[in-house]
Amino acid sequence: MKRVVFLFLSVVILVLVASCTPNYKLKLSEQVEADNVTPIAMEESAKMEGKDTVMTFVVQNNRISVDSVAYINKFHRGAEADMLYMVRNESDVPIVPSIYFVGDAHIDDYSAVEGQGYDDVPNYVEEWISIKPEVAEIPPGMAQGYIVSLTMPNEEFTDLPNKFAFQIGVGVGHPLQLAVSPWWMVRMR
Amino acid sequence: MLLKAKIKEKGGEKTMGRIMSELKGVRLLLALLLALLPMMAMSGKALAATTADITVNATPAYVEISCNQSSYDFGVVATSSTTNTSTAYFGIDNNSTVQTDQTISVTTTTWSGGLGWDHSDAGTAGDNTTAIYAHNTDWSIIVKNAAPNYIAENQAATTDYDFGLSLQAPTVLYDGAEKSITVRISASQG
Repeated sequence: MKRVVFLFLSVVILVLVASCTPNYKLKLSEQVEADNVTPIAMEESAKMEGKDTVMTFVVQNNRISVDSVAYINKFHRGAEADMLYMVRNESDVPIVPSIYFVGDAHIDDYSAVEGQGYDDVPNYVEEWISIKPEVAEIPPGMAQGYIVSLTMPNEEFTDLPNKFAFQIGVGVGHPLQLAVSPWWMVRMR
Repeated sequence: MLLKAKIKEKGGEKTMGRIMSELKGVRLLLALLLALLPMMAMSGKALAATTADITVNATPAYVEISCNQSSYDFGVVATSSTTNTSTAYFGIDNNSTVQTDQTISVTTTTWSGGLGWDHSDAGTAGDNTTAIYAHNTDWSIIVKNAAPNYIAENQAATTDYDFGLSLQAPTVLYDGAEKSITVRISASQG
């Protein structure tokens, strides 16, 4: 009987431990103090790149690139999804990137997801976007990470599509600015 | 005695003391279950309140553009004049490995410098108001607030293109200060 009790307790404890262990990542935005962020060396940024919540933007002279598209699944009210935008300045001069929301891009024009049921994003979603820290100058040869967060208020939005998409771009340069605007593909729970 | 008898009927060799011990175990088990119930309930609640089940992924899609120019100076313009670059003045080197949609827009609604010009999304110059057009295959209005126009739609991977700009100067000018505005070329997977 003691063996049965022991086995039962073991199973219960295992189930509890499994269910209490966070299978989500610590919110990236909680790891960044907006007023205390300085550009980091390329080697440091390289350690953070290649992860599934990091998008890398490389800026060279008159050139910009991005390596991925963001997918957020099972999103719901009260939830927050963070993506790290790592901007690498490989140009000869300091840069001040623009990070901007594009709500008027038409997902129907994105042929790779045609027929998957994504809708254009409602205007109010722009208010759910936050970027930390504020953009500032990145010296040549340095990188800066920006936490781009999508935070849905804890209330119901009846006209919010079950699947929607928008872009959050990064641009550099004046008076001609080159930019890349990766899609954020959001699927509600 | 009845209990003992029933157990004996099943062929067991158990004594009353052992039965009492097992009953104690069952009671212990029940007490533990009751104690664990609130914890289990709380853990479920905590999960529901967090972002535990959201998945966030960045999946590969390489988009890269570069330009052979970083600016253009239209020089001194007269009221109501139209000044063009060549239609292939700006060369976009498109190294994207996927099909892209590329838009052109201005990033502000006014030009900087002196009494800044207003930018017309309608493409119509006016009093201290200017309009800019871009040319790839046709001339199209460059806008700020409306959905940007495509300078290259469904651009095939690793396929370059050229474009030019056209400036319609205001019909009324108020100062001679140099004006400036940022024109953004933005590429996204399309």
